Amino acid sequence: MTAFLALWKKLLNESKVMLAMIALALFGLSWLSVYRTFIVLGQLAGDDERKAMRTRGGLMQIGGPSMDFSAGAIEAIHLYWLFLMIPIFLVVAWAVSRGTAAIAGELERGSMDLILSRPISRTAFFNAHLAMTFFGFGLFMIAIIGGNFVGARFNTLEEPAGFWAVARPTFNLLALGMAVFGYSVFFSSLDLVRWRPMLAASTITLAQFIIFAIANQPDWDEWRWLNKATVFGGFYPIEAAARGDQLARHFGILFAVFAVGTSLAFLVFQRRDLPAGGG
Amino acid sequence: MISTVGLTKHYGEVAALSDLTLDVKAGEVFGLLGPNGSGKSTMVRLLLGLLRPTAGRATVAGHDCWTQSVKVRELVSYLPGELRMPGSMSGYAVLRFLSDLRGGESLDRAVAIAERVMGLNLSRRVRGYSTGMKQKLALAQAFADPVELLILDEPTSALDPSARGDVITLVNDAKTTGQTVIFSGHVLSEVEQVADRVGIMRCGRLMIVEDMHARRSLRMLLARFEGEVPEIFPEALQLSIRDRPSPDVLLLEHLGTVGPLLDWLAGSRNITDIAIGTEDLRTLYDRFHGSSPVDESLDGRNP
Repeated sequence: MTAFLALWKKLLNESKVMLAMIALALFGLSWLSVYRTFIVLGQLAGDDERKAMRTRGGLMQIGGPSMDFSAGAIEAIHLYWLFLMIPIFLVVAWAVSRGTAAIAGELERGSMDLILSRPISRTAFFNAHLAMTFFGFGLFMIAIIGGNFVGARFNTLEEPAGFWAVARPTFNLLALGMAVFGYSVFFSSLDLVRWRPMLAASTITLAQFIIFAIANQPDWDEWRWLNKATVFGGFYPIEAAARGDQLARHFGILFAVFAVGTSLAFLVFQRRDLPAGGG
Repeated sequence: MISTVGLTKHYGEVAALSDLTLDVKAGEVFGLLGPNGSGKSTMVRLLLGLLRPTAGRATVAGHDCWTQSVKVRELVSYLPGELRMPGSMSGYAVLRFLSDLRGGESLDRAVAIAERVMGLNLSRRVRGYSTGMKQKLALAQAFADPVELLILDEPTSALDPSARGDVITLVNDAKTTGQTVIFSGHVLSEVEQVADRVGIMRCGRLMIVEDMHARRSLRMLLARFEGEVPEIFPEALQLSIRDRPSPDVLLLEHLGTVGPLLDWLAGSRNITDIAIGTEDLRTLYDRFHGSSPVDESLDGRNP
């Protein structure tokens, strides 16, 4: 077995519980979003005009101009905004967790000594962490798409969301996770203990979400520009589900944040001292 | 095998290691002594490429320890002073993981050493191991690795006396097979037992390198003279003055054969009293870390 694979296996072993719990939660929520869509589409097509109007208005308020009342768009609304944003929280938690575990976490635990005293390069060490992070993102994508697929088996929709209507917003979510991982791993590369980068990354993510919320208040057009100051400005799952015109641009922005953060972290890690555990 | 030239590591104003110039020969057991914070671990981490030198250079088998650290670590097995092992893994899984990081070739030997020599139950989770058992596990891996250089940082600190004996045996075995060993520790008697040479460090500086073979043949003479106290001695005797505790007493070092010394003593009319003994490593260590340590490295006895 190569050193890279051995290290990757160890990382998988360490994070398997978190991985499984997040994947299971995403699978379940995705399934649930299909069920909710089934109910909502029934209301929209039902005889109760007032109820249909109310539902339509509610969806419009959340979905904004992208709202087209397709099954995919309604599922995205439920999955990402109405279920207490749990999928966003879970993917961000994974990104922050993996980013901060990669360098500062290993240093703090003293496991870096054990590993890097063997003939494994810092590049391979870094890449193993990166591979583990992406493995998680891949698994989450499968969990969301799988949950949708299984849900559609039980709740037959007249016009079900197609594969891409589910995959595109999922991809958008994972790109958001990549961006969060980018700055988390950068903070991690500078530190000796894990709590500081974790606090910094979590605080910055929360601050960005608040900025995003302010920028998207219905009547606060003068604050729309704030979307450019937050990674959440690249996260439009409803648009991605309904049309996907902006997905490439949004992915580009989020990928740039990931690439800059990860590249800087890699460069810092290549050059930095690795003192004994806990600094 | 190891060569350092002016190797220096500073953390801001703090000098963790200053101007270390040292050569360790292949097949040699080199003892490294000094209290905590004297620079031993910094030196080891510089050799492993975990720290970047502020100045100077270190090489292992000709490979630069910073720019070619992977090449260096192919040749080196390291036992860290502070052991942190993944507690959720079994002893066997830890050995397998560490072996896999080196291509997997040392697993069988590591298992054999851990079970037969160290007496470990490898099916247990490491979380349930005592500190000493974890150290034994890491030692089993270190001695199993097919490497040219072993760096052991306080290898016996958590071990019981019989296990300490096993480690000494394993170090001697490693030396027999041609491996070079850096043995960093605090137990002077152990270092004295295994080392070919010993370096003593203080405040990031290498104060002295002592050849232990010469030291084992060293005799100390405490002689009281009546009348004139000699300043020089016949060269053939290989006697030198270490100290002058009082005006009529000399502390002498003798490295030569006993016969000529005894003849000379018999013929020396002005020696009124004499005591002959040996000197252990503690005496040398205390010269740098005792109650009244010397400030500078000893002239002529540096590497």
